[in-house]
Amino acid sequence: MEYVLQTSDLKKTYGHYTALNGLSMNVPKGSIYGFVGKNGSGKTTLIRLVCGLQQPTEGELQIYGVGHNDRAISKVRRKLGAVVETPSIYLSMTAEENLKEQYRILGMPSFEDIAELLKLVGLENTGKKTAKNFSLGMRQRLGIAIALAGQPDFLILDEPVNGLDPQGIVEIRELILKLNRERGITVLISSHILDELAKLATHFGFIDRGRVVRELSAAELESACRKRVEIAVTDIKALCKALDGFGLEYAVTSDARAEIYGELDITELTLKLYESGCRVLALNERNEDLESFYINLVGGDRNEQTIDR
Amino acid sequence: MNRLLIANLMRLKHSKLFWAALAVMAAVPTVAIFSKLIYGTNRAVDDAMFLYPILIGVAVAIFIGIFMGTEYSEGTIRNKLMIGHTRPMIYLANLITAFGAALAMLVAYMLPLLVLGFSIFGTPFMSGATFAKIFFVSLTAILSFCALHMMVSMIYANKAGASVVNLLTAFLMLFIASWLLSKLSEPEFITAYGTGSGTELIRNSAYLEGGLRIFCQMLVDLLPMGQAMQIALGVCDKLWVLPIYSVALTAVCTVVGIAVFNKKNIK
Repeated sequence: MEYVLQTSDLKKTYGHYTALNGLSMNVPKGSIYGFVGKNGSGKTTLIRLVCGLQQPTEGELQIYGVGHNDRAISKVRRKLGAVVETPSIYLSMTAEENLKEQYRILGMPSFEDIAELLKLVGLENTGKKTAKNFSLGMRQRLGIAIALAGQPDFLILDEPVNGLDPQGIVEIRELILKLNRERGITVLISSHILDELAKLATHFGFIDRGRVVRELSAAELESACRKRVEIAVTDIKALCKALDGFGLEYAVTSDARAEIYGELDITELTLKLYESGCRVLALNERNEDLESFYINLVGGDRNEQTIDR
Repeated sequence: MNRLLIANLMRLKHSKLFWAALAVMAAVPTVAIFSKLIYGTNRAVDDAMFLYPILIGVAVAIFIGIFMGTEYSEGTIRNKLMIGHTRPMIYLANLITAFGAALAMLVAYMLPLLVLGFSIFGTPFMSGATFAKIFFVSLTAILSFCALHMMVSMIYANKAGASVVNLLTAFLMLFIASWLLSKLSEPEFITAYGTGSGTELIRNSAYLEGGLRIFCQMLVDLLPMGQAMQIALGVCDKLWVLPIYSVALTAVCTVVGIAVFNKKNIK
């Protein structure tokens, strides 16, 4: 698999505070990578390192296979567009002027794409209104337009729907999906709004205390989260035989426990096991969503502790 | 670098602060000329000719603090870094832009002086060669002002904070330079009134001597505002020393500024 971004044992410290503590992650090309973590877990710090705003204390970071200490990283970063925390826009300028300024910084030969870009983010009718009079959603969309000015292959969005109204959230979501599907742009989105990420992401990385604790694809996550029954029995072989007989999908998790997927007739299974001399010790129905998966992964007790940096 | 300069210059064009600074710079010689016209003097152009380094010193302190601080406060400096512009290039482009803005302020000051002053009072008494020498020295002093305030603004990522520090630095320099110049201008001998015929000269105890005098003179020569005041008052004996100090201060500020900016964590 080809990766746009890879990090290996990345560390970043601010004085005595460790923001990233050996973070390793892989963002596949063409994916929408949902970067999930609570406040203070290190999401924004990682994004700052990727964008070259800060330098790692230890470890390595590669963008398109080029290391962060390589001189060629400056050229590679031209393939990158990002909105870090708040949109980087001149508040005294109009949307068009802001884009022209970014085109000049990029050294683009003409401004003819600007109208199309404004239309893409839904700001084509803002005229002479300066960015300081824009709503939060409009500023966010202008920030994305600026990030798209250099026609990037890799777009990084840090909490893109924070503070937006429901309509704004839907618009940003549709825009991200459009960019990914129609332009093939790889997107890294950090967020703690899990429901929103679940609607977008093709891959997930879960970060806690400066480390990625789990990386998986949306399909793997769906499999991990799907409806299942956890069963504990006295004879696991009898259980397997009965489940095979019913044609059910299952996974043995220990010598006395298993997880059964799909629709299950509990009475029929219990009778079948009784006939085999196997007793059912416990039965739990589980139906995890992304949120409960995340809580289970990082520990709900620690989830209350939030650190804003 | 060119791309950064073009982008900065276009932003300068949109900056109300920049245009306000130009208006103030143009207003000062205009008012000076008309006031001289009222009080009647034929040295109006000469008197007002080299006041601009002091004015520009204060104006660029505010201008650089706000104009460059906006890059931090609105986060737009990230747009430059994220697409691969190196930090030294960003720093140098900002310094050149600031110097360009200061030169525009100089033009704004000189235009009414030349147009109104020359047409009302005629050509100045100062020779062309003297004007050229002082003008060159003033340019290097303005460059050192820009380098000093740029260093503060690029290191201190707070627009209001950097503007206040810049302004305080400018006025502190003005205060120190005024005090030093008054001390240095003390005569070595003064008339001792009330003794003998009343014309006897005695040593002035306030006169600075030896190493202390050399140190104070060096300090006033080194401070950009000290240079500006010496140019404005026409009290500099060794004009050729001032550009050396200016270039040295510019180099030190720029090297320190780039080194710190290179290591800086941008949020």
